[in-house]
Amino acid sequence: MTTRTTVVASEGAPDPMATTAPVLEVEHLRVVFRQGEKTTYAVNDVSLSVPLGRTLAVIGESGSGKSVMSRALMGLLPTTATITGSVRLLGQEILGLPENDLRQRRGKDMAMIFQDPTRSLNPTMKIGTQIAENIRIHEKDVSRKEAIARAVELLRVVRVPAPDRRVEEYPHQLSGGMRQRVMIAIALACQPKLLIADEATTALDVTTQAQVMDLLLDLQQQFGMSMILISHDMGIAATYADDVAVMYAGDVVERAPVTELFGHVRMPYTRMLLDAVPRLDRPAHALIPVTAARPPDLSKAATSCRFAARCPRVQDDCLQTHPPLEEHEDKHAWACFHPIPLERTSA
Amino acid sequence: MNKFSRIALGAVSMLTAAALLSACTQGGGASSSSSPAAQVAGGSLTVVVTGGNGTMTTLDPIAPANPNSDMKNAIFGELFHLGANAEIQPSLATGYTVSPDGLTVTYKLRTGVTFSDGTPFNAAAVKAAYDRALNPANGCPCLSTFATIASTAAPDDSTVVVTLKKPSPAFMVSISGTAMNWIPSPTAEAAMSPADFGAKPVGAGPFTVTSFDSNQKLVLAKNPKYYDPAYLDTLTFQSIGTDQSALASIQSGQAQVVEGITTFPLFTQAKAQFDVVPTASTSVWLNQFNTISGPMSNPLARQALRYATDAQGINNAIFEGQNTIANMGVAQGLPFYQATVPGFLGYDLAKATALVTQIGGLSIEIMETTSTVGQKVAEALAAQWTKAGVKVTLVAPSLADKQAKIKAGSWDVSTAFMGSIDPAGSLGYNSFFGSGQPNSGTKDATLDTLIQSAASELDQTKRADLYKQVAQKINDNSDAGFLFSNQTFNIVSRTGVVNASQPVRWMDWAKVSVPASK
Amino acid sequence: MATAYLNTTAPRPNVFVAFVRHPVVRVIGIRLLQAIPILLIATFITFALLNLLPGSTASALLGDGASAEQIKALEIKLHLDQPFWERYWTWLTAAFTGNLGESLVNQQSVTAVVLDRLHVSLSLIFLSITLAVSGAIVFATVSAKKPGGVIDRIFTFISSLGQSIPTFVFSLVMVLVFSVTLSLLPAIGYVPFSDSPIGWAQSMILPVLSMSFPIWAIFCRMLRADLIDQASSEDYVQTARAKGAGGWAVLIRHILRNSIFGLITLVGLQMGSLIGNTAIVESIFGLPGIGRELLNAIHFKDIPMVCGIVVVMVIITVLANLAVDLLYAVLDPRIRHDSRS
Ligand SMILES: Nc1ncnc2c1ncn2[C@@H]1O[C@H](COP(=O)(O)OP(=O)(O)OP(=O)(O)O)[C@@H](O)[C@H]1O
Ligand SMILES: [Mg+2]
Repeated sequence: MTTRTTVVASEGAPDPMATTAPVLEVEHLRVVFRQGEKTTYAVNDVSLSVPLGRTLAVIGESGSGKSVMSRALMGLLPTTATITGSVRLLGQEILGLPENDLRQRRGKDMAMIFQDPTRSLNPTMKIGTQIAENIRIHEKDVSRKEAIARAVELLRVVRVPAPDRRVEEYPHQLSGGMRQRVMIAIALACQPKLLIADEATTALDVTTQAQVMDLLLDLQQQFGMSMILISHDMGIAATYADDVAVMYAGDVVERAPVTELFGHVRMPYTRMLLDAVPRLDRPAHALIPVTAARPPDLSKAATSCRFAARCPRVQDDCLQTHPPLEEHEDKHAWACFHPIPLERTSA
Repeated sequence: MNKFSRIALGAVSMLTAAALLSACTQGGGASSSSSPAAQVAGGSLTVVVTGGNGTMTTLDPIAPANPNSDMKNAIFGELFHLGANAEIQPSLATGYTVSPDGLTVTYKLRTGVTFSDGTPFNAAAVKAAYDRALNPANGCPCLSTFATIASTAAPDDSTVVVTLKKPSPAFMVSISGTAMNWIPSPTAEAAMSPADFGAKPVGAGPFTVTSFDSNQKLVLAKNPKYYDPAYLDTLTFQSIGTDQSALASIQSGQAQVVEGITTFPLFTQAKAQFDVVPTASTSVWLNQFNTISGPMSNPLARQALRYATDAQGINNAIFEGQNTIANMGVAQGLPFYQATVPGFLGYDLAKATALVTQIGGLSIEIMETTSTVGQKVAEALAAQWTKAGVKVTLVAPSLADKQAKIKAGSWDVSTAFMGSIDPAGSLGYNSFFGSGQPNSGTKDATLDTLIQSAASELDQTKRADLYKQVAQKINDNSDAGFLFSNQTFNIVSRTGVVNASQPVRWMDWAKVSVPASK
Repeated sequence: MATAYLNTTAPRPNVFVAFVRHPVVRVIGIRLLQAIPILLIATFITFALLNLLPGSTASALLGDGASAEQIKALEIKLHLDQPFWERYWTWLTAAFTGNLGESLVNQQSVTAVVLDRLHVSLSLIFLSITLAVSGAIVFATVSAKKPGGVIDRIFTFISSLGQSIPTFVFSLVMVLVFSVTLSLLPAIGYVPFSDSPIGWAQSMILPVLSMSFPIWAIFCRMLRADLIDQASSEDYVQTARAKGAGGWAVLIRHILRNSIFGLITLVGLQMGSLIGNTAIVESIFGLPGIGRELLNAIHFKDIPMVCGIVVVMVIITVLANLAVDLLYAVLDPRIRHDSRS
């Protein structure tokens, strides 16, 4: 593990008066895409909550709906998406807010970092301008010059060397890791309460990955943010998260604090993810070992357990009814009729 | 395109069409007679020239690219002006005499006339102009017509003597619209480069060149020294590429006269607002037959095609009925014209069909002219002849290829037009019916003799009789089927322009006036 | 001497080499060098094609009544009796010295005529591109703001009209509306700027509208499609939206900036058809430009004039594409910075 140096944030320390109320509360979130004849049930009944200052890892294989879920939280989905349920940010319902009101909160109360740093920055705009833009959208009285000065400061916070020079540069002049730091700087510009990192390190090499993750965690502490870490990698969840939610085919199939989850895996799918040892000969996103099976069909609403086809513990009732996510033990919820007995997991 | 777009596209096209129609019919009903109002001097006039008339590459009188003769008449004036019925009227020359043997023509020139550069307009200038035009090295298109000139002389300042190689009764009418009628200042010609002289020549006509943009625009100013000064201060010729925008220019009031429109459907629109004036015709459309070889050497086949031809139908369909039906190779209004020729075979589909059956079917090829109008005429003929059971194919060879085909005898029917001011002129009877001539499909010694003697006969009455025999012989032998006159039309605005509807081939712009500006 | 030579050259950076190696200079150099074979091929093909066309300059000049001997005589006078490659060689060697020859029709210097007319066509082309590009930016951005909305559908419809109506027809409709019916603008004719700037502007409005409508339509459709495509597929758009940027800001500040490159490329590609269109528009409106002159010259098979105009048109196209390249280099930081390093 890299050593973590504590850096004093330029502004704002964790709010000592922080209430215990969660920063984000999601209940029964569903996202359905309808485009012409095609319907995709991308997210089905997701319920989550992220307390202040805590990190929630959302883990799942490719196509499980992690990105759709996070974009639904940010209000960034295209008009083809129908979103239902409830999303409360800092106690206020934001689902169904008019775009203009939602806009005020994006980048200010919640921010997001995307997977591919080579594509998520505007190639024709200076780094400084891209950071300053976030500031100037939410703080109208800040002048261009002041905003750029703050951009330099932010670059320093995310440990970009020679920040005065970097603000004048364009994305293509930076390495992938540096670009992701710039993305983080943009996200932090207005000190959001919630930061969503959608596979923020997947595209980076291993060393850089660790550096960026460490940086994120440091900053989380400095700024007192809550964080949603989206990944397909159980290792990241184990190292950096407080809580873990495992997604499969649009469903959260298991949810628990990190120690509880790794101590007592109950959902067969989670077990399968954990058994998968990362291997170099496999592309990062490919799912791991699996019994031969078709990918889950998202074009129909779920009437049975979506994992049934690949599940080693499948029984008749799995094919009859869709198992709901229920909190079976304290803070440990799973969606399975036949969970793994406790003994087996204590290894 | 989605359904919405398609419906809307349709709607807009209809709206556009409606706008076009309303734009074209407004202002209709005004009187078309230009009352002989008192003419006043001053003002300016814009003539838009289009089609072949719009070509104005150079203003040099001998230049091969023969632009609109109107412009040269305005700049150089004319020795003699040709009236509506080809009568010769004095202008810069006051008169002429022909010797009894027909070999010497003597012009008398107007005295005291100067070119616009101040040098005298005299017999020496005329002789210089003739010598320049007739020098083969200069490539004047007038050369073939005036190869009969043996020499010219200037015995005194106001007398020019032209000696001919053989009597040429057609000589005097033929000089109109050629370099023989336009005399430039020899001093200016010698001093300027060919390009400069072509752009800003010096003449003794009613107007002088202010500016010239080849193929674009010619601006002329009144020559105050002209013996009979023009009314207009400024005369502008604007060349335009399309008939539609030429018409729009007069509709919008930018131009007062449009010359050379050949898109006949536009006349229907134009007639409502403007005067559509035919210029004097010098040629007629005809179907010429290869009487020497091939299917058309059968006289019955020729008669069949003549019966199968509905000339009036084509005239109505393509020319808006503007042309005059022709029975012979001289256009109406010209000497030796006959409105009807006895025994002319008119449209009779039943007879045509019967003849085609009688000769056991007929399959022919029409050579059309390369012009759009020529192609339309040939297509209409093909449709009519097909009705009579004739198999028709169309080809459009270039002039050179056409003459090569005629020479080789590998052709059936040629649809074209013939004629010149005098039937002895360059596109007259000889060229189209003389044995071995470039456009001829006839080989008939009797006809040759008739045509030759008519061309050199000095006695007008005898000459008229000879041409009557020529027309009769061509008709009786069905050497050709004549259709109708070929002419251009001018469109003249009714805003008080006087004398812009002269029924002549080439306008005398000095006589045109516009109303006094208030 | 030898040592002095070594001493002076070795340490000094070679300015000339640096200049030649400079990417911008290289781009210009390559484009201009490419122009040479294009010019050679274009003029040779022009010579050859005009030679293959039926009819000859001499018979076109002399008209229908000409005799074979007359045509022969004129051909000798105009040197048309020589084989065309000989004439091409004569023309080419003279052209290298800047002399594009003399018109066969009126003996005017081709160079003089072309220079005299060029500004009309150039201003027509330049104004049309400017109008089409700025119009396309406005219309496409408004369209892309709400794809499938009423405004978008109206604009899409207008641009599909622009692509389907022939320039010729559109010009005449413009003339009928603005000149004949409303009497606002002249139907035909050209007023030089030096004579009257207002008259010049009036005489250019309809031609410029007619020229720019079809290319505006092409630009507009392409730009709209690209804006919508980038909006839905590009990650940087998500980033911008995640910052809380509004719809217009995202479109104009972010997406348009990136779409502009595709538009510039398209402008370069459209240069050819645009120059071709000058012939139609100049003929309809009676503008004294090189396009109309080209039509007249082709009519008479005036080969030196045709070739002279073709040369100028090729040069305009090459320069326009060079301008596109340079504009890219100026606007696109990726290229700009690569060239510095
Ligand atoms: N705009 C859209 N329209 C229709 N379907 C979509 C859209 N975006 C995503 N989907 C579908 O929703 C499902 C979930 O996709 P999502 O991108 O959330 O997966 P993910 O878990 O983020 O996968 P990865 O690990 O590959 O990023 C997929 O089947 C995808 O095809
Ligand atoms: Mg994803």
